[in-house]
Amino acid sequence: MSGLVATLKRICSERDGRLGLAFTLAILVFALVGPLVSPDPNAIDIKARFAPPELTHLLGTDNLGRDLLARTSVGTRYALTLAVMIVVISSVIGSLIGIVAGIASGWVDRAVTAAFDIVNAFPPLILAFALIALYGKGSATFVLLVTVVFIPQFGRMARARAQTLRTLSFIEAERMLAVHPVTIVVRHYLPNVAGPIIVLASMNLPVVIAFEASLSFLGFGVQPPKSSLGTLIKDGFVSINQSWWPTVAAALVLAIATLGATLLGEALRRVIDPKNAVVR
Amino acid sequence: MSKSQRIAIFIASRLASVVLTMAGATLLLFLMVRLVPGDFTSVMLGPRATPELRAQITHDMGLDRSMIEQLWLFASRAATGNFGEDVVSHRPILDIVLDVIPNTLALAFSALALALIVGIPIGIIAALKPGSWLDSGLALLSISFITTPTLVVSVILFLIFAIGLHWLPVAGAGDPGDIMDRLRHLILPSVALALGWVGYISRLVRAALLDTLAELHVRTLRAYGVSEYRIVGLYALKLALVPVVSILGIGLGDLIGSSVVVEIIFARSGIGSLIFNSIAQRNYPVVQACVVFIVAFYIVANLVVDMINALLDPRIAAGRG
Amino acid sequence: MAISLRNLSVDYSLPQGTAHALRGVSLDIQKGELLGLVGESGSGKSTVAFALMGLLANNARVTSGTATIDGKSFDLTKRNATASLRGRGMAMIFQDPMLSLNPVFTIGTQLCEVLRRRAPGSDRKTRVAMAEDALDKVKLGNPRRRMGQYPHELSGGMRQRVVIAMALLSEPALLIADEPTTALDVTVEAQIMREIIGLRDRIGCAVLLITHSLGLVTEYCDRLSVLYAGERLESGTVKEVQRQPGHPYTRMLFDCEVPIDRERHADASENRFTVIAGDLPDPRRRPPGCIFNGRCDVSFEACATVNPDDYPVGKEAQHSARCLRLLTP
Repeated sequence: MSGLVATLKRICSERDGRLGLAFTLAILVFALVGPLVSPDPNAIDIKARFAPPELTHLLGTDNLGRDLLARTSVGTRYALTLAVMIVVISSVIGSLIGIVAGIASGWVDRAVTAAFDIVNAFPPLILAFALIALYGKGSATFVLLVTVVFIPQFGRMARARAQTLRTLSFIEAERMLAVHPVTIVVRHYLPNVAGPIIVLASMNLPVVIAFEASLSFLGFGVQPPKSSLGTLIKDGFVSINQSWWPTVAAALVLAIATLGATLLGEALRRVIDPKNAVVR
Repeated sequence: MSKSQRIAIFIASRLASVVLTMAGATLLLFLMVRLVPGDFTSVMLGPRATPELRAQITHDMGLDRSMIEQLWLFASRAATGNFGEDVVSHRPILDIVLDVIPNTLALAFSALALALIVGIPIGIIAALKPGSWLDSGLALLSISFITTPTLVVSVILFLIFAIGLHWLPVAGAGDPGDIMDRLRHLILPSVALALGWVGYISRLVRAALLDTLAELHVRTLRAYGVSEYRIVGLYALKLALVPVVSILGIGLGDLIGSSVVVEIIFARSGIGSLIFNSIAQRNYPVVQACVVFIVAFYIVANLVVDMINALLDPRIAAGRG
Repeated sequence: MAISLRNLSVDYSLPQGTAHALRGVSLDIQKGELLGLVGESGSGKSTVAFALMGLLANNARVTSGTATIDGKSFDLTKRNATASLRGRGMAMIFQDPMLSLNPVFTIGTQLCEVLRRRAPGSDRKTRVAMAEDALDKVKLGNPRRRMGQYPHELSGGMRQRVVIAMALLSEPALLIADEPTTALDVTVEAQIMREIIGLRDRIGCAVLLITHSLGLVTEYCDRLSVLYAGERLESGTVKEVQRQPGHPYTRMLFDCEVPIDRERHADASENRFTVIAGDLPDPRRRPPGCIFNGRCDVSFEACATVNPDDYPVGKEAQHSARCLRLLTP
């Protein structure tokens, strides 16, 4: 706990960190509190469609008269949830695979690296497209398939770190003392890989958020009736000639979310990673 | 071992790994498509499916033969550019893809060029006066460029120029015969794609330049009185550009991926919108062909980047560095 | 003409406080003379070199100091005081030749770059010829081939020869060599030192050799100056200082050297080495009195309160040391 407080203090000590923390907290508050203080996001009211921001609808309404504040905050919440899930799953699985590859070397390592190379041979968006097109839409499939796209990054980082660690003398010493491999992995590899992976994960979070938004915008991500920021932008875009407000509202929230997450991630990186210090 | 021998070996080994990766990617693609849940032909034809059509497709695509044969068919045909015929229009799929590729390439390259032309000078300026107000301001600007998703930038640009000012066209690629018109139609999409990269490249150049300038060989140059401008422009820049060039390979791939969004918003035809529309129409052979093209292009781009890197930094070709 | 440095003081501002790295250091080097500046790590000897060249880091400040080179005076408190001399009047050889040469440019390019400054207006062919000639002079075989090679293709000793060739081309009045052989094998060390001496013979420049190795200094230098914790403690000819060290620190340094013919015990653990006990003082807070007090084996009461001036040692001219013991004959 004290480590967490110390980290927070270090983050707040620089301007970028403060901005990032501020933006991220603002978005989080927006996502969690929004639905509580606004009308039902699904309440259709045709007479009030495309209303600009006003007292009853703080962010205006969309093409079906639904309150935008409510919809955007629900959409933000869902987008963030999905992004966090994807990052967590892909970082955990990626790290494990990477550590195994880094330790095992030989053909296991070669096979894993080849697999990573092949996945990385596809531009991420295109790969996600192809997978989703073939295996169906829907949130569960979405999370699974996008996770696959992001695993190689974490895998590479974990593998590189594991390879460096493997040659360090205290690990060799433990192996010679015939300590069980799994114990070595848990006691030494995991703590040392965790640092860079956490940093990479926090820096990938905004990427995944934008990724999901783009896919949802194109209809490949979140499906109705669920909504995320991407689908909201799409809905707004379709009727952009009648009112630009719905699109802009969702786009703005997306921009602030990614900016905040990026700044926070960068600040976290500077705090956690003083030149790859090794934890004994 | 002579310099040219070393370079030749380097190129050969890179080519070998490229071929392997390409083979692996093709295999993956093939498996992905063949392992679609449900009967492939029904899924593909959708409501158009009739027993006769399905039989014909099955035969044409060799689906009635063994997996190994199918793979071989696919790979060997793909290598020669034969992707079969489109079921709907009966045009060779190769032609369909080649029709739209130039558009996307034009978009990707102009975005990249824009990013380099604007990004590199910004990075240099920031590196010349680190810690100053100018540097901080440029940093903030760059970071906001980087973090704003292409989706948001495209949408905002579209809004400004479609609804607000009408200075630039927001739809289509322009009249094929008219170069100036095509260029005008390129502006907004390129800017939308390039913005994030402008920020990224400027940060990269700044960091690499500062790192290089702190290195000891720069101290030698200073000790001999070489002017700071010459040091930055000639000696430091060459080394600092190495990481930038590395990024370009990934950049090209990312640009092609992001081009989908831009092509949809600005209603440009290109490989991105082709993939999108083909997926919507369940036209999987076209999707397959598009992906093969994109992957090949991406891999070749990375190969070229490696070559350029080896030229810029001779230690890489020697196996060290 | 001579090189003289008067009263050089340099501060470094660090997060933990301001470190007074150099305090009132003065040196003299005659034309054609090799002066060895000896000191342990942390004594500030490299700082002297960088202050002279104007290459100090951004957090360093020269609080006082004047240098006179070839008759011209330079106020070292100004950041780029000696900038005009770089590449023309002063040249510097650094410790690690691999890091000193740009890895992505050929040897030839880097040598010619020096010539741009030294011989402006010369054309490319002339520069290439001069560069090849310099490589030949430092006994690098096959100069033409070397010109087209990259630093990583040469061994450490060869790279250092290239660096010396660079210095040769700039024909300086003062050559500063900062630990030129520390990063090299002992077998190469002698060759490189011979090259440096060869350079001195060819050009007649003054050479400031900065090193922690007493052996190097006694072998090759004409005069030496001892630096300890940012202060100059003793200066004199190598012969005189060796014969009659004026400062206890100098004496202890010589005592630490192990002669090659010293008797060794059968049981290796019985061999004893002379060391100087204690640590360097904190550069942020200079204690009153003599800087060496606390580690000195012959200090007395006054040493803790009086900061010694420079006193002559023996009858030899130009041999002086800062020790209160010299006041009592």
